[in-house]
Amino acid sequence: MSGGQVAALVRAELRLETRTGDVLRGVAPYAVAALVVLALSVDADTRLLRQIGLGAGGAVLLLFGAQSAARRGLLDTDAVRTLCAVSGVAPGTVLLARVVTTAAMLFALTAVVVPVTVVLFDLTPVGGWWLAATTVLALVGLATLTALAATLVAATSVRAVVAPLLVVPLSVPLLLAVIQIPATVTYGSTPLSWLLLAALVDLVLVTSAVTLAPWLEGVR
Amino acid sequence: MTRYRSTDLVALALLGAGFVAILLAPTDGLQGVLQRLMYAHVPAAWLAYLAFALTLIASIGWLRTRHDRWDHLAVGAVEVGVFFTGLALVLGSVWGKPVWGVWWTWDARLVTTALLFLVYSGYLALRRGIDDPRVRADRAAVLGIVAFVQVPIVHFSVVWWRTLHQPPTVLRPGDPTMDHTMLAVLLLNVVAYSAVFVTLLRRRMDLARGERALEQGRLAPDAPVAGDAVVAPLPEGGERG
Repeated sequence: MSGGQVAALVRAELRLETRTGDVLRGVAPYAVAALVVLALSVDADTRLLRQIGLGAGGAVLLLFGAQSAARRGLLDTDAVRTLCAVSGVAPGTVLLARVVTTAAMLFALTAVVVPVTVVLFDLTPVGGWWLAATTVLALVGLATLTALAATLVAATSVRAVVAPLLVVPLSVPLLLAVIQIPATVTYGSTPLSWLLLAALVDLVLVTSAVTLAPWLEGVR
Repeated sequence: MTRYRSTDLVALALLGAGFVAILLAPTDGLQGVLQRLMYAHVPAAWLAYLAFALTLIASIGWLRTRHDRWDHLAVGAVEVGVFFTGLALVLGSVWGKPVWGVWWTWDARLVTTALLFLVYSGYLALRRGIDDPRVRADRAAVLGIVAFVQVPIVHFSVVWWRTLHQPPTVLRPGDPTMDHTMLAVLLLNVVAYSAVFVTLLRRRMDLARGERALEQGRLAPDAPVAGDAVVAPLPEGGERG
């Protein structure tokens, strides 16, 4: 696995994203619209809004983040995949490039969703570094899962439907880990177990991705 | 015309025997006749576990050997497993309304089972979207391996979290915590449902073999067909057109 190859592939993918804006100009506005509709649906009950805010924000991030698996990137084109294969780029390198690209897009989407959620649902940050660390781990896990799903549905006719169907159910432990942190801190417990849950899910996903990459990329 | 195997008739007979045993089983003191749903709900859930374990084995078998039979087993097991998972969810919901007062509640066992159902539905949807048989089998096998992580989570969810759903009564260390007559009826139904499971799985594998043969014919339309090399004799002094 070569760091230079990963960096080159990620750069090319992100350059394509800045041109097409599939995630930031396509998915992000819908995510914001979904948050507005969710906030509207519970009327002007601020107490209830505060109660459901973190969960609603997490769910929107998960659902719309999963959409990035359905995005048609550079690594989804037959020409680039063939070029990678004949140039000797290892399958693990291609998959890692997908993970890093997806993680970058998810962090950007998070940067849009979090402030909007805080404003609309009147949230006060609880959990501090625990919440931040678990969120980062959850985003890495979600990026790995999304990259795996994107590879599974690459060049298929059902990518837009099937990719989120694969990502959302398997990412529920990550969502749970994040939204349980404030409640655990509020009741005076240490949220270490939730942080470890996110780390464990990441470990399982990364191990699966590295082990199964050759079959996913059709090299074996 | 449909051909019936002896195993089909055995499965049908066992299912009938299981149904009679359910009617004859003692009535639960607290839940009354509703408890009888358990004799179908529990075998359905166990067979779903078995189906997804078979999918895991078949997926590893496919990636290692690339023999079609592993892929046929995987797709058959997932379809039957999704059916039994759905059956367990529906029966549980029908039981839950009168006993818990709701069709659905945010209980760890219920939620993880619903997620299991969704993931393997995604497996089936993924297969339908890929035309190339080898790519389809490869990607489905990868998903078949990754998705299995959910099965132990579903089983141990009642141990790891405080849930409304009761903890394991049979698949646990020590003596089962249920009346032994009820246990006998449950085990008879497990055998009956397992026979149905085997029948459905074999039928689905036969179907997968047929689909594969059809695909091979469709993907190689220009390949020479049997008898292609034989040409009709020319008439005296005639020319081939």
